[in-house]
Amino acid sequence: MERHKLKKAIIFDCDNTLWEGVVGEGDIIPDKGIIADIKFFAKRGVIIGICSKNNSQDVHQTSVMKELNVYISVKRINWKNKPHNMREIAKELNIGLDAIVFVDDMEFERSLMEQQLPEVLSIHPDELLKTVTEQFDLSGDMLKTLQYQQNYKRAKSAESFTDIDDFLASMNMVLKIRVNDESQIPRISELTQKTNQFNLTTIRYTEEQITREMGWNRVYSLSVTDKFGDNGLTGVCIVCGNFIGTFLLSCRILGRGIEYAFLDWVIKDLMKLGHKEITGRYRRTPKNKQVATFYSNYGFKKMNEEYFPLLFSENKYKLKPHFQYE
Amino acid sequence: MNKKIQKVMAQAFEIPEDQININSSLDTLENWDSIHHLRMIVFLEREFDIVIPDEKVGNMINYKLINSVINECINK
Repeated sequence: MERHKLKKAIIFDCDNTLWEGVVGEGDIIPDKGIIADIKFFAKRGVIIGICSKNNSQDVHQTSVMKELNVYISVKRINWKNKPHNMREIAKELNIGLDAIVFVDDMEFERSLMEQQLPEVLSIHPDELLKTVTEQFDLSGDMLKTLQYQQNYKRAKSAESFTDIDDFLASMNMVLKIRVNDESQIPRISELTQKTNQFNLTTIRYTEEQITREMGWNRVYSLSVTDKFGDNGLTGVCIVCGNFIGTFLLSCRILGRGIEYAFLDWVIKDLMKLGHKEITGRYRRTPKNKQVATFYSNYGFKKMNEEYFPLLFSENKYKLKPHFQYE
Repeated sequence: MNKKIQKVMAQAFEIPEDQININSSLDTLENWDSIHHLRMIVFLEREFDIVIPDEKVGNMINYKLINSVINECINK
């Protein structure tokens, strides 16, 4: 995604911005909306600062500042002019002036800032949400830029298909499955550490443990490409003898039946090796309810809530023709 | 609260409408992952007959931010 340089920090005025009224000159009323927004933005990586003309002590005694203190990275509360303070703030944060948004209710302060430091984006508090949606990147891990762009195109093209099978068939999905691929050990370990939702047992492995599993057992790793690009390594299955100890998929490739295609490939591989049966395990956690019926859906028998055996001679699963293997 | 947005969010995240409020965010809704997020974007575009600019899609991660972007798009 090509776009203008993203902003990194928001620097707030206090009086009539964080609260209604002037501190030190009477009661103030906290603006709960903006306070909640600040906390939310700070948690998503936006740097928050204060630049206001007040007595520092007055500001620090407010309930607002006590509540926000842990979210604030930099403060200049004094009677110097704000452009001067802003230069210091940029220096202290070690970011460019063009990475800063300045929020002040007073037109005078915004004009002075615009005149002295035009690189800083000066806005009225009412423009805060709009500015954040345009100038920042809050998406973080959930939607890494490239993945998001690909998935977004995917979701968009899903609109033009009424039948989901048509849609999936048009995606040119290629599943690349490798067994005990040592070059992938770091990523495999990372996936076992990070994946919570589509994870049948949620057993975490260090890189050393994955290396050991590869020596003793079969560690399957899955990468998926489709017509929009390469999704990278997004699935792991670890089979110990006749037992599936780990089966997980990154949530960004869910909703396409890939989980069944991956499991089906593993089962066929085990059949080639002469196995006659396999048992899947589901270990319930607060986050993995969605996979409670995964093995049953494929056709495994349910022994109890945790164990699901399958005799290969009784396997009736029919793979959808949407996938190619490589 | 915008009822249409509330309805779309409930649909996208597969939960009852009364569980969506102005404080709903990807921190408060358990299944707000990338897939559900994109479902919501597609549903919002259909419901309001708008095109949400790509650079804003990733930032629509709580009710207020969604509401802000939708209002921007409608008033254009």
